[in-house]
Order: sequence, then structure tokens, then C-alpha cells
Amino acid sequence: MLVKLDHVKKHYATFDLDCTMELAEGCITGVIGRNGAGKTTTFKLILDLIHPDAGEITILDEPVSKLNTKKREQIGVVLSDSGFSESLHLEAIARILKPMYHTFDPADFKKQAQAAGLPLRQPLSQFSNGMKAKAKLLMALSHHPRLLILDEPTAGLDVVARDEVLDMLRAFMENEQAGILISSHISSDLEGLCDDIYLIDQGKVKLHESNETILSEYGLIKVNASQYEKLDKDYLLAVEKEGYGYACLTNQRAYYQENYPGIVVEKANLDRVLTIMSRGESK
Amino acid sequence: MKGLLVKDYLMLSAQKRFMLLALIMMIVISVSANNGSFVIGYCAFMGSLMGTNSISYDDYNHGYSFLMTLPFTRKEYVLEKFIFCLSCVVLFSVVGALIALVGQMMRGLNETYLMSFGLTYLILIWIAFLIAAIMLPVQLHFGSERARIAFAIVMLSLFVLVIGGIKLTEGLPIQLDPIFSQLSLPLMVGVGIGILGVAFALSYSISLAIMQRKEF
Repeated sequence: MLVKLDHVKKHYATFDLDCTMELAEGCITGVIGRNGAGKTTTFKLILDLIHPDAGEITILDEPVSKLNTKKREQIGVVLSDSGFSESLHLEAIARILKPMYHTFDPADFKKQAQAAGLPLRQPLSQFSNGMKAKAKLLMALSHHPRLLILDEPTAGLDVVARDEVLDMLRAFMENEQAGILISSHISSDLEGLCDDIYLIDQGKVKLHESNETILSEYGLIKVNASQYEKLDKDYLLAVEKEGYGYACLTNQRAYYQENYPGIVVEKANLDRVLTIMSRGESK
Repeated sequence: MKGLLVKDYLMLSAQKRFMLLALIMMIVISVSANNGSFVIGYCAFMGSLMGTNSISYDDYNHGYSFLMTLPFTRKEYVLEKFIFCLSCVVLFSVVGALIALVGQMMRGLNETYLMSFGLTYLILIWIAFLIAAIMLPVQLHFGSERARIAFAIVMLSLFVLVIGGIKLTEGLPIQLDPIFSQLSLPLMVGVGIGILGVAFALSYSISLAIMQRKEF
């Protein structure tokens, strides 16, 4: 197991995190949730930036607090609001990374940067948001890690650039021992990339499901009040009151399509799963 | 740790314009005003400041979060800060000393001057080292903004302690001045090194404890 969180708790004044999560080799796991749900807190716990109040965190089969520098070299990180000082340029960053990572090749890094259209001697402060996002990912990949922890790596990228980034991540996963833990507000990126999804809301894991199951078996049922009264609620995960009646999330879309031919049953996507699980009433 | 040192030296070199300006100012003072002590002291303290300010640069723009995910331990981070800071003090003070010497050479050097110069250099670099030892844990704990206020409070407290100590000794039945004037230079240097050693040992332990507990 690349990452394992076992009943990890962290208390803050505004919310409490209580999280159990795993990332296996060869998998890409997505984490979704509203702003302030606890995604970044979870990532910071995994990266030993903050200390848990309870629970165990294991990274690359070691307790996170005992991770040595050799194992830390196997982790590549992208954080949405943090990086190298923006007064540095990529050539300077290459000089910093070279002694830190045994597997870092400055020539290869510079070649990749130039191929991505990133200037080597321009300070990061003069990069666009998209360029900064690409640079961060390149730095994370440059030392051939085994584990990638990516907090919103595609934020600020246009569609074409996002596609290029996702291709880089798919190429990274050709190593079957590797794994990616990724959070993003762009659900379509995660739908096309991830093997499984964790939904975090108010510090708790509200949902953990394979991406394939969500896309093939989850459904959104739209009913008015009288239809809702007659609906079998055994397979409803969450219900949200809407202007027309109720929007209901189910993980048994086929059941409702067969047994309630008169009601609207749509395929669910990650955005709708997130909004109903976060705002609706859980069943 | 080497990567961290490379980072800090690169960040320092990014301030070459400021340092060049300060260098020109020191040369002018040394040549025109015959104030070698000021030049050495200013350069040594600037070294101390630049060294400890590297913590502010790490902290700037939430940089700490990403920095602490890189492959080094928090212990290595603290050790690197001490090494970097001390190297800055030495580097800057040597430059200051060279400027002061060159300035004095234009007016003529003699043995008396060189002896007093050497002693002045040692005292000023000792003070700069002590300031670094105090400021490193203060910066680590309070962050750059509050560290300036904390530093002012610490300096004021030291000043009060020193003045208070002097006033206290004036009231003693035994006068200490004749005793101090009997102390040899090697003994004073030894005591100075001893005080610095204790200061750095304490500073390092406190800094390490701060960093181990810190959350980013």
C-alpha cells in the first residue's frame, strides 16, 4: 500500500477530520469535496506537514513520522498554493533539486521544461498561472517518484494544457508500482483519470467508490413530491430538495429505471454526486 | 541539506543589487570617514540579518508547505539554517574587514592599529554570532513579522540586563575593574567562545524543538 490512513483524526476549531483512506500500487485515487471540506488537511497529514491527533498514517509502508530521506525522494508533490520562491527560475531550481534527489537529471528536466514551453531563466513570478502549474508538475515528476500527491494540479490550465498534464500522469502510471493521489475541482479530469474516488465533506469520508461504479451504476432521480412519496428509498444515498421536488442520488440506477419507468433517472457525474452528498440529506 | 544551502545561497545572490549598494556605501565610509569599526560591525550584522532572513524567504507566500515536502528532515533544515547563517556572518564580516583595512591602508597601517583592528573584528563578529543565535529560534517561532518585534524586545532586555549588571557591580564592596584588566586576551577569547558555544547549543536545541512541533 502506498498510502494508508487509519482512523486519522485532526481537530480544528471549525471542524474535525476523521479519515480512513488507502492508495494501492498501480492506482489513481481522486479526492473531491467542497472548499474547506478537509481535502488539503488530509494531504497535509499524508505529507507530515501537520500532526494527527489520533490514528495512523503509513506512507510507502512506513509510519509517516519515521519516513527517511531516501523514501521521501520517492514522493512527488504539487500543492495548489505553495511552491518554490517565485524569485527563482527553473535553472536555479534544477541546481537545488540535483543534490536533493539521486534520480534527478538536470539536463532531462530542462529538456522537458523547454518542450512544455517553459523558459529556463525567467523567474517564476513572471509565469502565467498555467505555466506555474506545468512547472510544478514537471518538478514533481522530474525525480521519477513512485508516489504523486497532487493538490489541484490542473488549476488555471486551459483545456489543451490540462489534457497534456493528464497525459503526463497516464504516462507516469506505466510504472505499475506507482500511484497518484489527486484532488481537483475539475470533475471531468478525475472521471477520465481515476480508478476510485473519495468524497470528503465536513472532515468525513462520505463516499468511497470506484470511478467505474459511479459512472455505470450511480444515478440521479428527479421526482416531484408525490412521486417521492411512492419511491423505494432503500437504495437512496442522499436526497436534496429542489424547486421541482427532490433530486435523489442512488447507486442502483438500473433498479429504478426498471421499476419506475415514469420517473426521470439520469446518469450521475462526479459534480452532481458531490453537490447532493454535500448539500443533501444522507439516507 | 546541500540542496537547502544551494537554495539559500541562490536566494541571497538574488539580492546582489542591495548588497552592491551596501558595499559601495561601506567603501565610501571606510575611505572618507576613517571608521573601520562601523564598517566591520555593519557588515557583520548584515550577515547575521541576511542569514536569519532566509527563514522569512522560506515562509513567504506559504512557501514552507511545499519546502517541507522535499527530502530532508526538520533536523537537517535547522542545521542548515545555522550553517548558512554563520557562513553569512563570516563572509560579510570578512568583506567588511577587507574594506576597512584597505581604507586604513590609504592613511597608513601600523602594528598598534592592526592589533586593535583584530580585537575589534573579534568582538564585532562575536556580537553578530550572538545575535544570530538569538534570532534563529525567534524567527522560526514567530515568523518574520513578529520576529522583528520579538528581536527588539530581546535586545532591549539584554540592554537592561547589561546596564543593570553594571550598576549592580558599581555598588559592590569589591571593584571588578582591576580584576578584569588582569585578564589575558587568550582567557577572554576562551570565555567568549565558551559563551558562544553555550548560546548556540541552546539556540539549536530550542530551534529544533520549535521545528519538530511546527505545523505548516
